[in-house]
This record gives sequence, structure tokens and C-alpha cells, in this order.
Amino acid sequence: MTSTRLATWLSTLLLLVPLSAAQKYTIADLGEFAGGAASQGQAINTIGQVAGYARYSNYNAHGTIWTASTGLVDLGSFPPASNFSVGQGINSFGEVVGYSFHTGAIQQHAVLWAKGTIHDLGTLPGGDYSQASGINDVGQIAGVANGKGISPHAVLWGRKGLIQDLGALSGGYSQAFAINIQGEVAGDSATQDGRWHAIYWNKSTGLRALPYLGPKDTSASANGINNLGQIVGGSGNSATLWQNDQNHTVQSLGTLANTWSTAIAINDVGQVVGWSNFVAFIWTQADGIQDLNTLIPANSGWTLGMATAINNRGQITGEGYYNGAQHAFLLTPVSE
Amino acid sequence: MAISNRLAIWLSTLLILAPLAAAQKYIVTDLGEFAGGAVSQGQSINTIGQIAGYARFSNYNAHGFIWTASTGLVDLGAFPPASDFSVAQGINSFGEVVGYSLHSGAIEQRGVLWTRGTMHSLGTLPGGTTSQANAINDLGQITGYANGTKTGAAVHAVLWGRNGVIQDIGALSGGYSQGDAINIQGEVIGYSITQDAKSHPIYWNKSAGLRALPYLSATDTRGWGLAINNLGQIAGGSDNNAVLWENDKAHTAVNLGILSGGWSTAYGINDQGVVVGASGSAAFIWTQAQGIVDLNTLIDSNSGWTLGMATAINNPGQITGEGNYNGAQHAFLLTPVSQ
Repeated sequence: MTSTRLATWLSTLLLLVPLSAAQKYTIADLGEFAGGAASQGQAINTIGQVAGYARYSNYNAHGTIWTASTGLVDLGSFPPASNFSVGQGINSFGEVVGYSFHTGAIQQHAVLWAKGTIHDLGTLPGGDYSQASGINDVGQIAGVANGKGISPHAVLWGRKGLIQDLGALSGGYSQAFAINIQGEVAGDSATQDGRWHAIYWNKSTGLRALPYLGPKDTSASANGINNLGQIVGGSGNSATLWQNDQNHTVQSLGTLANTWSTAIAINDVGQVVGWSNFVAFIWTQADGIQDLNTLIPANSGWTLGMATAINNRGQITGEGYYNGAQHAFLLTPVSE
Repeated sequence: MAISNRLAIWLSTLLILAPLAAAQKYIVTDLGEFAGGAVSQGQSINTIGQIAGYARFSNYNAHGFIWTASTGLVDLGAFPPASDFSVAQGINSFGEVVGYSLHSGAIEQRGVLWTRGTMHSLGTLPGGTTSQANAINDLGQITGYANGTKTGAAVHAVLWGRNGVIQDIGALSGGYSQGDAINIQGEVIGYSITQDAKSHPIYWNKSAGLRALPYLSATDTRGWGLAINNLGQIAGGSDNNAVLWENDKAHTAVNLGILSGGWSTAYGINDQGVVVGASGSAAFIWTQAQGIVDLNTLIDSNSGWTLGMATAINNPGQITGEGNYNGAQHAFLLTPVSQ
């Protein structure tokens, strides 16, 4: 009798209490250029400003910055405006980095947009290719550039635009994808045996390879680093987190639907975002890997494909389909 | 006087010691295969080293793939059911991939676009039954071929705009053509078969329309445009020779030479004018400075690889294609090593 009541009470409880205390989000559409099509969020800063790119009706892309007060703003490109540009990183001051094309020779150069002006970051001496991926609050920029007789290498641009070659593993080819406030850089590099390794660089230790997740892995890449030095990316077919200990201890973040995953960014709380099986995910220590589509209002009209960045307030940007159009989004956590 | 003599001797010694040609060396990355699968081939590479191609499962069915260093080989799927066939042919800077897949119900082939894993059928010309997409540029313009009521039994080179609107770009007299590549300027190249059964390399742009590119030799009867860079330089083949067509008015044809086997064909070209392809049983690279070079001589001789075909090269100089790796046919990524 008592036990029947208990069972009834328990089952009622189960119906009332959400199965998981996972964080829920509201979703904002970052829109598109007037008459345009498609947008993507690539990076987000502490105050919720988003850098990325959007396409015009002719599908030409320009770097963008989105803020709640201005909406989507075109950052422009090297003249003429028919040139391409893409925004890839943003810092707390709203400075955006990425790349643009020089039409004459169809060269791709890393750029910094600051206070409405586009600056050409150049290449290593004699080079013709560069791309900037991340900028920290000190104004240091990480990316990739080649030079005369030098294959593309991970590079660091200092505040004054001076470019520093960060070197490469034995294969001589590397690229940087992220930088934190301490000037630590994450990226990838090939070795002579053809393997790709996630890499970590800092000023005192120089460049080193991060460990693979599995002994059979032959490729890995580090895509994001937080201000504590925790690094995320992918190894083999799985999203990975490298801890900020001496050995850069590596752990798998799992996959959705038992397929593949890669992590793209991590905030200072250790929350990780990325994509798995072409679906945007968030990973937290408490809840593991979760499909972000299950954490937004049902019937929102959105299918979230890729989460590319997360700030310390837990806001997330990326790209998804909104009623059939490819749009950038901003997810903001709601209190439970 | 004495010093300058000594300097001259020292300089001439230096010249003898210096290597005659500092050929670029490469490291090879195996792109692997699907779990339990067999055979893979890289078809296209973008600026950041993402590769599109196809791989076969153990039952030899093929699916398109995209490869990145952080994910490895990712299956792009096919029209359902998964037992259907698909191939990825082209990729742009944004990771958008094009190719084709079969509808097994009607065994019809359709050009497809994969954006972030979502597969879109590109359709055919009105009333058609078949299509294939071969390349996509950064503006999302796609070329390939399709048929329709107006093309009869033949297929025509087509251009899909980013809204999926399909445009027939015509054919030479024989009525058969296909588009193989497209650059950022929307210039399309491919080939067309004329009524005398010759196949001609073709070039199309919006204002000039369709024209035949010159053969290497007037007596040639077969030619193909297979790649075009953003400056309008074109790579392909004319009879048994790999060809580079310059971006001048006349599209001057340059013979890229042959390594072995009596033939060569160029499959890829980047914005520096570096060309890759195959000759005999070997993948080659061609540069203005060094001419045609067997890519197998530019990798570690103990790598276990025999590179058979190079299909594409990006602006940083990375190359993809297909080779024999310890007995299996695998897709590769060649990455240039600093000198």
C-alpha cells in the first residue's frame, strides 16, 4: 500500500522534474545583408559581439561584426568591394581579424579591422599567402603565412604588426587557429611521416606536439584555447580536450550518434562547443556532449549545424539553417 | 686585385656546390579509408587543406567524403538509402562540396551540393534525367553537366547559380558538352564533342559565351579543359599531352611534357600557375622553373607510397590525389616542406 503510493509519487516526480538539468538557450538570428544570403558567426567576445561573414545576393562574402545595437555590419574588404573577406576572430575591444583577397594577383592576406579601418597584416618576407584566425585583448594575432622558400607556418603578429614565425614540427608546415590572453597559441602541423598533430606554442617553450587521443590516430588539430591554457580540437574522429597540465593530458569529449566530432572553442569555465555528425554540440563536465538543438525552444525554425565559439557568459555563436536559409545565430543561456 | 680573384674562385666554387634546382619536397599524409572499407581518392582541395573525394566500403559502394586534420575522413552520405552511390568532386573555401549521387529507385543520377552535411539535389535541365556537379567556386557557382528536353539524348555543360537556378551554357556543333571547373570570375572550362567526333577543350564566360580552346597541335583530335585558376589559366590535355592554356586572348597552349608511358594529362592548377596531373603511372607537378617532375621523386623514398595521380593543388601548394600505399589505393595529401 505504502509502497504503491511511493511508486505513484515517484512516477509523478519523474514527470515533473526535467530529466536533465541541462542549460537552455534563447536563440537570436543574426540576419543577413540587405538583399543578401547566408551568414555565419565565427567568434564571440565577452560582451556578446560576434565576428563572422555574410554573403551578398551574388554570394560574395564580406567579414561582419554583429552587435545587439547595430545588427550585422559589413566590415568591407580590400578594394574593390567585389573582393572577398572573412572575419574569423574578435577581442573584447571589437577588433576583428580574418582575411581578404587582393584581386590583382588573387592573393589572400590576413587582415585586422580596427576602428573601421582594414589593415593588411602581410606575410613572411617574400610570401603571397596569409590568414589570421584569432586576436587576444593584448592585440596579438595568430594565424598562418608563407614566405619566400617557406611553406605556410603558424605566425604571431605583435601589437605593432611585426610578424613572428612560430616554426613547425619536422614536416615544416603548420598553422595557428587560436590564441589566448597569455599569448599561448594552438593549431596543427605535419610531421615527416605525414601525420598531422595538434600543436601548442608559448614564448618560453616554443612549439610542441600535443598527444593523440588514441594510439592509432594519425591526424589531429587544435582549434581553440582558453585563457587558462586548456585546448580543444579533434584527434582521429573524436572531439578532444587537452588539459593545461605539463603533459597536456588528453580526453575524448565523445560524439553524437556514435559518428564523428570536433571541438572548435572552449571558454574559461571549460565549456566546449563544436560539431558532431554535422550537428552543433556543447560539452560540459557535468552533462557531457549534448546536441544544442535539444536545448533551444522547440519549433524555433532552427537547425543548428555548427557551434564555433562560446564566451565566458556562456553565449554561443555558429551557423545553422533558419527556415531553410543558412544564418548565423547567437544562443544566450536562460536561467532555469 | 688578388682579393677579387680569390672572390671569383670562391664564387665559382660556390656555384658548383649549390644544388642546380632546389626542388620543393613534400610529406605524404594518408587520408585512410572508411571503417572496414577499401580504396579512397582525393579529388579537390581548398585553401585550408580540406579535401573532398570518395571512398569505397567493403562492398565497393562509394560515398563522397570530406577530410580535415581534426575529423579525419567523414562520410558525406548519399541519397537514401545509404546503399546508394555518391562521389564528391569539388570543394570551395567555405567547405561546401559538390558531386553526384544516384537515386536508386529510378537509377537516376543527380548533381548534389553538400553544405555542412546537408545534401541538396541540384536537379537537371527541364525534363532531364541526369546531372553531375564537378566544381564549385567561392561564390557558390557550380558547374557540371545535365540533360533536358532541349538537349535530347546529349548532356550540356551547365552553370548552377547559388539559388540553384540552372543555366545551359551550350555546346559546340555536336551538341555534347560538360563543365569541369569554374573560377572566382565565373569562367567555366570543360570539353565538347563535335559532329566529327572530335572532343574540344572549351572555355565559357558570361560575356564571350562558349568557344573552343586550341589544340596543342592542329592534328590533335581530343582535348579537355580540366581545371582553371582564378587568373583564368587553364590546365587539361590535348591528345597525349598535358596542356596549360594561358589567359591571353588566344588562349595560347603550352605543352607540359610527358614523364613516361607516352601520355600525360593535367588535372589541377593553382593561382601561382603550378600544375599537377598524371603521366604514365606517376603523379606529376609542373612549374615554369622546373618543368614536369615526377612527384614520387619529391617524397621520402621509404614512405611506402607510389603516387599515381595528382588531381588538385591549392594556393599554399598542398596537393591531393590517389596512390598506392603499401598495396592499397588511397587518397593522399602532399604538404610542401620548407627548404
